[in-house]
Amino acid sequence: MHKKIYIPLWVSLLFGIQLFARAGGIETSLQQMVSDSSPQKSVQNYIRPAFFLNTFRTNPVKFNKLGTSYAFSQTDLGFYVPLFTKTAWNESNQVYQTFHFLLTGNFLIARPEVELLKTTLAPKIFKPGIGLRAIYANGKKNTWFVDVSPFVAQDGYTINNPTLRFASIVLFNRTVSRNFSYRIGMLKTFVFGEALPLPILGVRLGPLDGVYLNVHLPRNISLNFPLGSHLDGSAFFKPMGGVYNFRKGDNSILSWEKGNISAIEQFRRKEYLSGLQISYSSGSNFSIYIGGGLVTNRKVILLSDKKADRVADAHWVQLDNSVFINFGLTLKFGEAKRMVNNLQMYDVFDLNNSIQPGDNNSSSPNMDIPRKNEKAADQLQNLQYQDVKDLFDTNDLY
Amino acid sequence: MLDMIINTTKMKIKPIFIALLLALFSSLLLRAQGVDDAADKKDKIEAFKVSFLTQKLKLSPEEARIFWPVYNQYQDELENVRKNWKRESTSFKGSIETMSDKEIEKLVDGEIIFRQNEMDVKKKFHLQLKKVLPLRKLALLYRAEEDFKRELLKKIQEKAPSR
Repeated sequence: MHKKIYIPLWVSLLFGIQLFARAGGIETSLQQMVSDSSPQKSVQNYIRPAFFLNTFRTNPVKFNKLGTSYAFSQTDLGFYVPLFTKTAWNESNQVYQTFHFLLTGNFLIARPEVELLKTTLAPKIFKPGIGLRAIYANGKKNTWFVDVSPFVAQDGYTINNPTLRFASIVLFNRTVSRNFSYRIGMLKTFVFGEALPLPILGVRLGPLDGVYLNVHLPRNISLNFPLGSHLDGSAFFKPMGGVYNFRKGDNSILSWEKGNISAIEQFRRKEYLSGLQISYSSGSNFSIYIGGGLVTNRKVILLSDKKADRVADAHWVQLDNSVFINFGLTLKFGEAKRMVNNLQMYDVFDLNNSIQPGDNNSSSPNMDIPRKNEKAADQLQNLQYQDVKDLFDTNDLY
Repeated sequence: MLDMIINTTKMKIKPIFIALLLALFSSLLLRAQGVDDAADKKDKIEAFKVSFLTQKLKLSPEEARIFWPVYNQYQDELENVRKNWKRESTSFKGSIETMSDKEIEKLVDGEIIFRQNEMDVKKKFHLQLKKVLPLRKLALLYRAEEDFKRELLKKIQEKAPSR
């Protein structure tokens, strides 16, 4: 049964790695190593292939309904790869329009941990998903963003009977100025513990290469600030949750609502995270972050997967608040087109990074947005002619 | 069976944390040793050029919003032409004295084709930049680009050992 989980996972990963390599990562580097006079394709993409890893964990809290304790942990591995990027000059508007089409994917392992059962029936739930994302920037101020992320969230015992779920986002963003943009749209999400279609309403105040406040309802509210040339901080508030299917345990303690007779149960959770995250970026290819804070307004529910079998008075169970910790890293590959001072492209990156694949409501740092560096001239140490010779013509030397 | 799965998961979590810590440590170590690789220098040169041009052109926010995407595309296409020529020219082995006539013809023709390609890019973007910038600012841009190269040469000469 477990082979049926891992085979699609490995196929997806291999497929994703092939695509990212062709998107300009490894393949470009290999081409450069070979003596070949055929013209090299120009860099096409603004968004580079990225892999990210995130782990999240809460401490155990009392679960009075079961007379035990509850904790939650998850590890998420994901990627996005540009499949196709088109840049076109619009003669009438005198702007470059861009269209980005990406393949996204993630594989999450979630573990609700009920103390009495750590060594017996604590379910490990697998949530693989693969999706598509399209972003169109008209070269002026308007950007459209569409993301479709189908996924399953099952334990190993129910993988033969998966429930396919779809999360999606359709969003319009307007970059009014360097310091202000707004976005409206619709999303279908499971982060509130059920499938909900919700409106999106958001504003950004402040420049993306400086201190800015992002209010992106209902997904998150964050205040983001640079802490140095390689460090960034973010104070945030966001919902987190999901819907997961697993086999009803032989031990009835997992089914606290009487009358659940279905073999497959849905575990649903919803909670709010308030925390602080610090990220360190080593150049534009690698970033690592650590965060922590409080988990509040926590609720869980167990339901039969079949609606007809659900107990009429099933209700959400409130849990105590807890703390959380999370670690993560992001790796990006390949070259990208220049987009310095391209404010609309900055918003494209922010959208792409703040909406990570998989409807897990996680985000990665904006590593691609160049920081203002007014001391760059002073920081150029030991500059040699070798470093700049591509910029010069022989005539420049006279 | 389930015990094995659960214990395997626990074992897998530890390598993840170790990998994260190693990645952070090695990255910090490289930075502490002052490893200033070519990519980092290139980023700094780009940043220097951007701040230099920003200072010289004094564009309004609306002019900057339109100008920079066009200028970035211009720089990308120019860099692509130069990279292609660099790859082609460095693929020739040996010196002019030892190369065959065919190779020499390919080399000298390639030089002219490169110059033409470069000029084609410059002409294309000159027409686009004329539409997005006032003429005086376009003239300032070209002058600022030349001034920037002189600034870079000054920096190189400042660091050169005195004889």
